[in-house]
Amino acid sequence: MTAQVPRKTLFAFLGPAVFALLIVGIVPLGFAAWKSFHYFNLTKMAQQRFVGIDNYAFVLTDPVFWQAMGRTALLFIISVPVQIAIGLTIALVLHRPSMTLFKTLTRLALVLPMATTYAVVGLLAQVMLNQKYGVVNQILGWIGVDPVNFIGDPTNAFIAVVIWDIWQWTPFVALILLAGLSTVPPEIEEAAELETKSPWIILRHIQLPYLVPSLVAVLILRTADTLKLFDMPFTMTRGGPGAATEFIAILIERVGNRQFDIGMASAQAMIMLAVTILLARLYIRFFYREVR
Amino acid sequence: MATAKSRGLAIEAVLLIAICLFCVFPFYWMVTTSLKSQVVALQSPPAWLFSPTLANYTEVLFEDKVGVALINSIIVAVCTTLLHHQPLRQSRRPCLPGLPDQPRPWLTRHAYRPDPDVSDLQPADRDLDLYRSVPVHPA
Repeated sequence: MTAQVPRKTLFAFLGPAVFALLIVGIVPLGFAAWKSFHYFNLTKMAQQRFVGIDNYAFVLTDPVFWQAMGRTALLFIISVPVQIAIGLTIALVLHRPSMTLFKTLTRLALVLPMATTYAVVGLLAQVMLNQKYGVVNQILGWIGVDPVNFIGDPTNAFIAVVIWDIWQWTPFVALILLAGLSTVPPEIEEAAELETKSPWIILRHIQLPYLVPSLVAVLILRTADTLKLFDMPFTMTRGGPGAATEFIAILIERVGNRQFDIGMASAQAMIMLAVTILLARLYIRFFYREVR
Repeated sequence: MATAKSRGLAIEAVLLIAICLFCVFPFYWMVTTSLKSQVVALQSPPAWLFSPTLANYTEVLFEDKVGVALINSIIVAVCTTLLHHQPLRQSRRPCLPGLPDQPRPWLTRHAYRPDPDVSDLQPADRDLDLYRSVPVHPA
């Protein structure tokens, strides 16, 4: 199908894009990789020196780093299944053919949470979850629950971040699954409805097989988003109280921008990059093949 | 039979309302908070009824330097949109680094499986859309 394109044309068209990618993507990455082998502290610039793999050795044995990793994994393990469960419920409700106008409106409403900027979502959480003037505690008070200190208590702060992540990304999961549901051929669905009354059987044997690609997409996108989750907990809790909501991206930011240890932060970022690539390869290996 | 059906519809309506509230309420609260003065916004217990004010908006738009930031955002948005323009059917979202850049299967019914003709091209080629001025899959 492709005619021979002269090399010059190819380079002329590809060159700018590749160049831009090089400048904004590859060069900073290379710089970070290079600096991760240095002692490079912004408050002690004169002592900058090459230290080999010392930074990596420190990070890999650093419990703080692994706790942040564990926290990120915990957030993923809790929030993603909940998001998929609620999202699938929403998608199934919206998929039923009735009340079309109302459902269109609901679909519009679903877009709101994920269209809101992360940083704004975090600030909004501060306003709504405040112990004194937060509306969530007011509503909880109506049903007889004492005011909960959402932001100030370590466990509650983590739960609040999880809930807020669920609020923001459940609609996204719901919309992807809804699109997946629309790929089920209607005649198969109708035939199944004649065969059985149980919606569970239809879901399990008719709809779920068609949803596998959507679920894989959800899993991959949510993994990437969770690993780099930064703005929302940063504006909401700054990683606190203590280190209760210090996820891996926030830890890197703290070491680099608030403790000025750029070398150490670069080493942490490199390890996180390695983990991300590893996860991506695993997903491709185990899920993408099946999808094709 | 009719009652069972209407009961099903009622459950569905309740669920829909719950979904809408779940999604819209924080957004509603953000918008109303933006219309409150500082004293009302930090009032305890929170105020549901209040006399709205546009003071925050005038301060942001005309007194603070937010206008500059807004213009910066518009410049970036317009430039990236123009430089990154693709026909809607092929729009896709970049995934993890290293993932094969595929058409989003959940948006395109026709281009469900990767097209053998284009799958060996580099993503950058396809982004420039040199080869796809004519749709590959007739709809």
